[in-house]
Amino acid sequence: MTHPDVSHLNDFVDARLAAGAQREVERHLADCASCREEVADLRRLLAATAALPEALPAPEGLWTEVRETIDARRVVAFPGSRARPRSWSTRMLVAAATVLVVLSSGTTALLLRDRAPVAPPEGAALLPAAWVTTETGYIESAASLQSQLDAQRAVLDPATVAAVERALATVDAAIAEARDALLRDPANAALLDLLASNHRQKVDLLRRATQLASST
Amino acid sequence: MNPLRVLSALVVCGVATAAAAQQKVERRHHVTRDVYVRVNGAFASLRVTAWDRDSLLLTGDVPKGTRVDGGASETPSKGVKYYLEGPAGAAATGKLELFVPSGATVWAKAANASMDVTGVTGGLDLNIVGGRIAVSGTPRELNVESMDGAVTITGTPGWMRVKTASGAIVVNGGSPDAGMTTVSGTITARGGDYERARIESVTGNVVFGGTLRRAGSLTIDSHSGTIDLALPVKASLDIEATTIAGSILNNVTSRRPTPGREGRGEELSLGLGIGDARATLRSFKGNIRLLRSDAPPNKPG
Repeated sequence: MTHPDVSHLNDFVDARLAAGAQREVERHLADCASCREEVADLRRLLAATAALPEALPAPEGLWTEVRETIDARRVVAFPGSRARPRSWSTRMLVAAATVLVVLSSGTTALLLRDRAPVAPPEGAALLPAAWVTTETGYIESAASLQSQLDAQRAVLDPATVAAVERALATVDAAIAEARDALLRDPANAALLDLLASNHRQKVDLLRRATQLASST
Repeated sequence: MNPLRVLSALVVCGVATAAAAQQKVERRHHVTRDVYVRVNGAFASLRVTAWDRDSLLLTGDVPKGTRVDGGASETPSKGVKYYLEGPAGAAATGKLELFVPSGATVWAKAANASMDVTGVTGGLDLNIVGGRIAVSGTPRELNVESMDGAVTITGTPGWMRVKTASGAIVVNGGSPDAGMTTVSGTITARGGDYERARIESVTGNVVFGGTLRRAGSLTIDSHSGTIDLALPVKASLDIEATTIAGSILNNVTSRRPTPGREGRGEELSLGLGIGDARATLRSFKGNIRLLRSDAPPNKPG
């Protein structure tokens, strides 16, 4: 396949592509270092955005200042009049820009509100930085999929839910055990690979479970 | 009245009622040789057979009241899809048989079902929660996902990904590009050639008895499952085996494993023949065994 565009890779990282498309990207990534790097960047971005605060407080007195500025500059145009609107002052532009930033951050916070905030992995300071980034990506993806699954749980057959939960419990126990060992031996490459394998299993299991729910 | 006669009458009535509660399905379409077919919904068994015709036939019995939606929109059709919706509250008991051109791509999904596919050389994408899946032949591309259902592949798919949660995976054959993943099921790959194979399990045991092609690679990772690598006498590959807490048994050469990092687990590096392929075996606390192909198979547990 040709290089997937960024929005396609975004959907891949969010596990929002259809199963076939998701696999197609996985296959492409296996052979394409630049796209792998792009995906790694997106996962880092995902981890970083999850760390954003739920809401940003507006600077003190901002609203009063904006209202006063608008009131002071209000122009009432009568029909037929040729009153020329005054140009915006720098101060007003700054105020408007601040409003936009706050609104935009608020919207982002609203969009991210339902996602469980993911704390940095335990003992992150002891582990290789590249691994922490990778693991944060896995944890983020798993948390996002888990919340999707929780929201869709009611439509799944109870036996399916039980099967998924059994499997998740098995994987979680393995992750915890491997992680404990990694904290004792952070430079152990085999342990990193084994832990990554467990994380992949968890994300993949959750992806499959959410797909089952969405197609039920 | 003779109780035996009453019982016989009841059995006859029961059979008649069951038969009456079924409805026949028969759909035929003129399709292209590489038609894309999608079957989804409430059925208990699906048998897919490739035939050398440019037509498709879906036939079978489903419970009365089952809706069979979909079909083809053009002639010859490049895409056909069916969606089966059973009567509310009724178990999915429908039995379907699907005949497709061998080059078809078939996508099928059901909750608890048995799926048997034979002879398809196009693509297969099969998905179940429970039940079982059996594929025979050489599909160009094979993707199988199952939670509890067992999966058996007999043949040499060009590209293969099989994933289960607890279902056992058995592959009799090989693949140039294979991926097998399970949480707690067992994975058994017997015979066949592999060029690139990646196997992952969390607690399930893994037995790999395939042959790696020249410059091929095999990676097996397991958290606590046992890994058995069965090697033919003339195997030519480099092997790197590592456990964090498990042990390594080498029945292939006289080389002994060494203690792992910080004295825990074991490590073994081994070169066989001219070493033109590579196998990496890693287990957290499961044991790794290197065996000759004719050695007794691994005992699960």
